[in-house]
Formats: sequence, structure tokens, C-alpha cells
Amino acid sequence: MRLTRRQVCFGAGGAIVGSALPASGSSPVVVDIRAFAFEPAEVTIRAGETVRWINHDFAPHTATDDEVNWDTEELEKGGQATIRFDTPGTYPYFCAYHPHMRGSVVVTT
Amino acid sequence: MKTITLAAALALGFAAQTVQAADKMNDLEIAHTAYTAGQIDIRYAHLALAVSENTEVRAFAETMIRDHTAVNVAAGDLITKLNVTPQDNDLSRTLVKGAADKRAELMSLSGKAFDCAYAQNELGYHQVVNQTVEGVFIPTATVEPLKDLLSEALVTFKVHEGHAEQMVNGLQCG
Repeated sequence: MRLTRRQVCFGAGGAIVGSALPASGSSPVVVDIRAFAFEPAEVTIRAGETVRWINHDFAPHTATDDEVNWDTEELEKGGQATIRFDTPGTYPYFCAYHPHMRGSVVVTT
Repeated sequence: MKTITLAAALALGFAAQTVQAADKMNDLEIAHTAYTAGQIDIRYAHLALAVSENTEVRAFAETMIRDHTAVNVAAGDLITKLNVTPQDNDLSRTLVKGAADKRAELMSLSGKAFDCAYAQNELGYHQVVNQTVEGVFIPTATVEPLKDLLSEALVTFKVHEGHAEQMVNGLQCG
């Protein structure tokens, strides 16, 4: 099994990829990628909190912003990526490899 | 619906041979055939990338390479873990022969004719493979990890079948 871990900070200035995220004070909200679906398809977090995507499928997937402002990059089976959202709004996203897979992150103040 | 019927008709004779050849296979033969089926689709995809200029067809082919490679890597990991050697068999040989004939046919085509032939073959191929995996391989497999792998792979293959159907419809092959 190949494990990948990626952490991304997404703020008003766009996506910033780094080796570690500043502590947000809360655990990430987890979105499981299973059977070609994001579960749950919609998550709601407060600004400054994080979402973690974990791929359980054989097929590699991504979670990619509709506007391509942020992206987990490729997640192999067992791979995970965490993204912090600092700006309130609704962020629809999809899998770049299987575009029928869709989800959204709602960020409140 | 028309495309489904056409692809099903094209695949029918092959499916009958496939199911017949799949009868009474052991775990090592099933593993060999499942792996072979993935490799065959990867080769079809490489051919599509070499010939097609259609964006949708190329994207589908790239997905086939990516996903089938991932499934076959998992299959390889399982084979290593179980320390077994998959066994070649009549069904694997039938698949390989059929794929060689189909590749020769596809290589004589270009443009939309190629795209339509590739798309229809992908739909028919996935229908036959899915029918065999779900109806024969999973019920027949006796080793639990193999059964699990096939079940998880089937999820991927069914998505491919749906994607292939959309591709056929989108190409409006008539």
C-alpha cells in the first residue's frame, strides 16, 4: 500500500502547499472517498478549520476545486490530504479523474 | 438504449465463450484472468492515446490506464502476500486472442471511425468482464482476500462501464 499525506493551506491568496499546517485548534473534518463518491458529499466548517480527504478506492482520485484554486493532487489508495479553508464561502469540487464525483465544502464565519 | 443494445449484441458471442471458459476455474486461474483483463484494457487505452485526437476519448483512455494499473498493482501486492503464482488458462488465452484481433481491427481505423469503434468496444468489453467477475469469479473464488479484491475492483469496472456508455452516446456514432 502506498500512503501519501499532503497538507495544503487554502486562504484568500490561493492554495499554499506546505509541510505542516498551523494549528487550527480543532480536528479536521474527514471526507472518505469510497466507491467513487465523496462521503459526506457536503461538509460545513468554520473559517480556519480543515478538511481531510482519505481515498479508500483502488482507483486514484483527487478533490479539485471547481475553479482550480485548490487541489489535493492525486491520492492513491490509503492516501490522504488536508486543506485549510480561511475564507467563508461555498467551494464545490470534483475528482479530476472521475468528474462525475462531486462534493462541496461550506465555510462559515 | 440503442448503444447498449448494439454493444451487448457485439459482446454476446464473446460473452458466451467467456462464461463457458470461466466455468470451474480455480483461484489462481481467476487471479490470472482478472489481471490479464486489466492489462488488455490498458493496451487498448495506449492505442487510443496513439490514434485518437478526441478529448473525451483520450481522457477516458487515460482513466483506464490509471485505474486498471492501480487495480493490477493491488492484485500484484496480493499475489506477493499470498506467495502464489497465477495460472494461465483457457479464458486468459481467449481474452488475449480476442484482444489481439480487436487491436488489429482498431489499428486499421482513424478519426471518428476509430473513436466509435474504441468506445463501443470499451462498453462491450466492460459489460462482459463485469458480468464474468460478478457472476462467476466472485462466487467461485474461495480465498477471501481474492474475493474482496474482485469485489472492490468490480466497483471500479462498473464505473468504467457507465463512463463508456456515456462516451458512446456522446460520440453519436449512429
